[in-house]
Amino acid sequence: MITALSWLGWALLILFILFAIAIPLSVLIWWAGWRKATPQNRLQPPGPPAAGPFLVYLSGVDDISGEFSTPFEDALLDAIAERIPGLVIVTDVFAYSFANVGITSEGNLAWFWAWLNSLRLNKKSPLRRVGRLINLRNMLHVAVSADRRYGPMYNYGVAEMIIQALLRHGYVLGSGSQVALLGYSGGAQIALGTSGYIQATLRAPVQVFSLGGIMNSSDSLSRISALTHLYGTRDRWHHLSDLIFPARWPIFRGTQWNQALAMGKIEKVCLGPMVHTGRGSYLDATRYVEDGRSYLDVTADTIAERIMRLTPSTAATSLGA
Amino acid sequence: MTLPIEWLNVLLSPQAIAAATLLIFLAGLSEGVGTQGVTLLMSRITPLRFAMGLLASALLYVLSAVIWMWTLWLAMRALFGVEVPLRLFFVTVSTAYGPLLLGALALLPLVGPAIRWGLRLWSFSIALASIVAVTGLTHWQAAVGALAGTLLMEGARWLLSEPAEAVARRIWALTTGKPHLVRREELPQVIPGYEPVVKGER
Repeated sequence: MITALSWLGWALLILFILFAIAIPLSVLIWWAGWRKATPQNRLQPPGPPAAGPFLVYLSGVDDISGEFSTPFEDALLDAIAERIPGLVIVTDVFAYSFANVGITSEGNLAWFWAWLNSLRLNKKSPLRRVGRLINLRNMLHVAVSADRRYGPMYNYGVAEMIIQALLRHGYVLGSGSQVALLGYSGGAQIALGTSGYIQATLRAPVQVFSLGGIMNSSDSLSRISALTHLYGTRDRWHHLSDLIFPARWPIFRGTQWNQALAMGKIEKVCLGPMVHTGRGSYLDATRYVEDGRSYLDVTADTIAERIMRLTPSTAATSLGA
Repeated sequence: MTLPIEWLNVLLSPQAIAAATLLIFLAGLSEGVGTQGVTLLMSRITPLRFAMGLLASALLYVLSAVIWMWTLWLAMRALFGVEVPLRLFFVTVSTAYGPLLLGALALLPLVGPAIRWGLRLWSFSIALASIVAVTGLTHWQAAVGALAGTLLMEGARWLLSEPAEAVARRIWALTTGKPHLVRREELPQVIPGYEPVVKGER
């Protein structure tokens, strides 16, 4: 029995390693041009022009596609939209695919991910926890985005998908409208990684919001206007980045992260006693801080205030830098 | 610890030399996939050129391993008067390349480079143990000899760096069809087709 379990353990480990290697390899193979572009890669007709500003939301690692979102996420985005007149919100980008392909809709393993997702959503299923494999899959994509070898290519691919989504939502090339990227948890790494390409391509002010985000240092920090890291005192996950990414260790002062921190480009904002996800998280509208605002309102206020703060005059300064 | 006498006949056989060379070649191929493979794909070369590039890198790896072991053997002779046939030394020390068969694990995101260094340390410790086994030296003597041999090779590499680089560039260009390696800093920052058209710019 123990031998069989041991063999199973080894088989699962080898399977995991192969899967973990397959993700960066698929990025490299796409980059090398060995794989044909997926239909999503073709530019779709632009939507009716909008003045913006634009907010692109990249979900956390439990996401499965650009279309999937939780009611809590929708509530946060609605709350931000209520605070900023003309804000265009873009949610149809799947951060964990360089081709913006949802994991349950295409590919050889689509059936497998769809099955896992159905397990995850079925609260009575004893195999519900197996659905966490989706999180693991997406975490590996976060690791690819954060890796200095693969990140430039992966982030380039996702950045193109974001720009296409912006065009679908009415972004006018050359308008200089502000683009804000909001990444929740692992989505923050993708938001930061892609932001430099978006700024360099659109030549517009770009700022990044990290909601309890996990992020490595990035070359994007030299291009973007600001990075705001929002965290809660009970969120244990957001500390992870300070430990696992050496480029964020204070002893390496020359890294992009520490330079941006010294220049004041990175702002760390404590929102209150929030946890990472679930009840008591940044998206909770049923718990309140001392001034009577819900956790969700605090999060929405903080983000909206900073989007409003990046006026065209400050944007011009940032672009000239 | 020294090698039992009955092993010597096995280790000195042509099959042992071939097996040692094959081991180093496969280790070179695996290490090539883990490191060179990324650079090759980043440079956007064709599958055929990719295979040729990996093959060339594995062959160069074998050459470099042979030279390294030869300089180790020279250092052991010069420093400690070790009298071991070069063939025997080569076959024994080549076992150090065993862990590097897992070199492709360097492809793992984030942890890959750390795994690569771990494998190299593992390989180096096997190299020391095999030197001790084949020469009868102490671990410290083997470490000093290995360091001297490595410095000797690095010194020769430094002296010949310019012609060696020219040869490496030539081999790269021949196998990959690209004039030079693409570095991370050279990757495009702007996504073509979406830039705003600015008056006065072409």
